[in-house]
Amino acid sequence: MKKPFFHKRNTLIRFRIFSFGTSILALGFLLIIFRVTMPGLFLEAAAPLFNIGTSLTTDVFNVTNSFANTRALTNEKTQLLTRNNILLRENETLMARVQDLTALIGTSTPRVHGIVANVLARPPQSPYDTLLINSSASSHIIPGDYVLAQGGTPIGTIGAVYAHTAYVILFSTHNATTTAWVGTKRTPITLIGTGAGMFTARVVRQAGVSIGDRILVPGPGSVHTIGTVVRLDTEPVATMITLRIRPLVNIFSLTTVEVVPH
Amino acid sequence: MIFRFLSIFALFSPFFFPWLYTAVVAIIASARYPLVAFIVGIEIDALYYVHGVTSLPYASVWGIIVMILAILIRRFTRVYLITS
Repeated sequence: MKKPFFHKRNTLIRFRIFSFGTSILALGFLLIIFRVTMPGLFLEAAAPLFNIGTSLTTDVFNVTNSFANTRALTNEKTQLLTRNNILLRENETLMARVQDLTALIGTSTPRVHGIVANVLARPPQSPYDTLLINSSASSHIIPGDYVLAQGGTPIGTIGAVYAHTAYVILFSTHNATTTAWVGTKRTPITLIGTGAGMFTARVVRQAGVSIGDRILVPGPGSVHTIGTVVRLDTEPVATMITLRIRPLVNIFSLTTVEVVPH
Repeated sequence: MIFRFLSIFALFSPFFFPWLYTAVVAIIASARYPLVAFIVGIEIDALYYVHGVTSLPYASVWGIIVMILAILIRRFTRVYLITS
């Protein structure tokens, strides 16, 4: 006859209070308490994980790119280098004109020097249009300072500052409004953020806005191009048209930004 | 075991993956552990939410909604399976 076997129960090991679900709940409460009481330290502790994530993304991109067609990559590189050289020459021509006009008129707008900061986290990791950047206590960054991408394009403002990190609220945040101008006539508009780096705006039909018109925003020292009109949504009887705007800056690939005083 | 792995993966994925992937993994893990959705929502807001960006911390709100739905669905399926 087969004897029944009863597994020995060790009450210390199978102590029910340490179940997986309870552990997750305890972790969640610890997270809330840590974040509320010490937000700067919390973000500082999370920074290495963000850096690992960025490194992994770059490594995966390099690996997948190595499988791409070599000839296609070479052609693309040649085209990009050619275009880069053309843009550099155009930039030098424009700079020379600015210098001539400055010498003629006798005034110039001094360049505001900013602080370069690394981007720790960006969309689409973040469901909100915010950036997490590193900063130091000696950088004197305050909420409201302008944040520029490479090339000087304004992308947002500082929302909150901690000991070693800061949050940037982008202009494309859902329902955020920004004063801007469109086209060669500099028609004033109000940019409305729709999230994921995109904007819309509404303008009267008679304004004569067309696809390809530049969108300009005020920034530190001058006016900057922030995007271009890519689509016009019109209705037959409506007097207003909706502009769909593509930004110049790809917020999903920002690695460094510049913070300038407001 | 697989749901435990998914839960731990969901807790770490806000640092590495887009929020949409994190949300999908959290929803799947909450089928077994409903609290995971709430905790992941709190975690995303702790990492990325700043006052002024939106009126409410939507990740936490959606985490609570998904958790409640997961609890209700689990209770319904348990009752249905027991009674059937």
